[in-house]
Amino acid sequence: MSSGDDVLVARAVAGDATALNDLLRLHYDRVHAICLRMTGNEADALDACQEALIAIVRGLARFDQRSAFATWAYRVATNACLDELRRRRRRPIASVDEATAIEHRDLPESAPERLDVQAALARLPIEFRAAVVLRDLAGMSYDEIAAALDVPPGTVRSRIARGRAALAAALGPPGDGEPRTPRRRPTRDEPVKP
Amino acid sequence: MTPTDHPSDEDLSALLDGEDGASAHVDACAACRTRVGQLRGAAVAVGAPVTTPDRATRDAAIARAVAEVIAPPRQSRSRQGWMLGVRGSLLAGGAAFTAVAAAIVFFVFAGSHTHQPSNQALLKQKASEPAATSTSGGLAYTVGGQANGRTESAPAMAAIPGSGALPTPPSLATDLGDVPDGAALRARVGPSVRRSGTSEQRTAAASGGTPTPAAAPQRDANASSGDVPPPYSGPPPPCEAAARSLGPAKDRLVYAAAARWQGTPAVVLAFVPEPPAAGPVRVYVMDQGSCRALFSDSYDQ
Repeated sequence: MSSGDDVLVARAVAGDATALNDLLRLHYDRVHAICLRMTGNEADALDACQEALIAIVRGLARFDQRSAFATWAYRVATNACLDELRRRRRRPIASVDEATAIEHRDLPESAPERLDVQAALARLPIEFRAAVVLRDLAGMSYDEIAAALDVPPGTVRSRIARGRAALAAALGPPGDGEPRTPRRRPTRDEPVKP
Repeated sequence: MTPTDHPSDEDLSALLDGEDGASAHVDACAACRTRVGQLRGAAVAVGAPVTTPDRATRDAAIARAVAEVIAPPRQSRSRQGWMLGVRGSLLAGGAAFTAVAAAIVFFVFAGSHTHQPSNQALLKQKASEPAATSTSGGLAYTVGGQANGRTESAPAMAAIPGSGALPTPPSLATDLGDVPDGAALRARVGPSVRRSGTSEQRTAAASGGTPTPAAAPQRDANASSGDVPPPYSGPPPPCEAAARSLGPAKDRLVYAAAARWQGTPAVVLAFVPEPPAAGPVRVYVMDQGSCRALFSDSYDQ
């Protein structure tokens, strides 16, 4: 935790509303960015961001400071986004079984058209999207993401890789290097094929 | 090296995140370097800055969140909060009794030439009360009694059922009337707090306002420069400390008015940074009864 956050959190928990205000202001832009990347549109992002701020305020007394405040806050924001997406039913969240099926299915390795990053992210299963956003936007470690999403670190590693690969296919120009056939190594999400 | 020796996407992706297990291969393999570049491009795109909401949107969102702990809605009060309310009522009742007794003693011994409006006496009496607190989720926030040396109070005033008349706090000279939304608020308050213009222009711009003759000259007398709104110099407005606790702790209060915000009796307060600091005008709409934040906005000067 940055020392600035440390001080503000301590003051806010002690009842200093100005410190609480400053703390939220410091992290608002990043929380909003996470919400925007997660939900895919500004209206839902603002709703999720509002819910995230309220959840942060309500949960601050229970914040145990074992992680950085930012990490905790981004985790709260991610959960707010998942709740928002569930509520809107625009992109229904898969059940556990469905999520497993999604993890095992091959993501597209090429896209017929090039997309902007928001549209490309919206095409990702939410589990992959969350992992990529928390890593590449929030800068969280695999372990922190694992704790936030309640999955093993190996699963996070796999989701990030597959999410990035799908995004690269949707976003980037076709690779111009020599053809490359990576060895296929089972991930923790995949069953070992005989 | 054969193609089957290429690291997996997962290993290449992890390379971007600090794992170096595949680095030796990638250093020697153009195809894998290209692939790493593609994955890096995706990661950078996700992490690219996004358009952030304007300051008013941000401040309003933060104010709503902070208001959750400063003044939780009455209908969802916890038992503890309810007990605090009861205790506050008892304190208020005791304070009112003390005020009446003090006023009687005061008038008996001091005569009539030091007359003060009764609400002023009440406000001063409230200054000696302990700050009220509200609790939510284990946090307790002080909402009164500490900011700027001024007392915090939602003045004792009764709504006028069915009359449609706004129960204007007796201490405020300006009544904005019904304010349906942020745009209407900006239209009425904005001209009153902008940098340039005379106090008369500012006062006249507050549509629906009914400034007392004494209010405008007081403002001019306190103007520190021509391009910064002068300090508000009327009687201490209610809910000032609660508004300050939302951010503008040490800013200059430049405006206070009564209003009915979306049907709720409210107090509108505006702050600017004390010169030489610069910044937008921050406007807060506070529930007149509970001092809970109802809305906030920022106006560029």
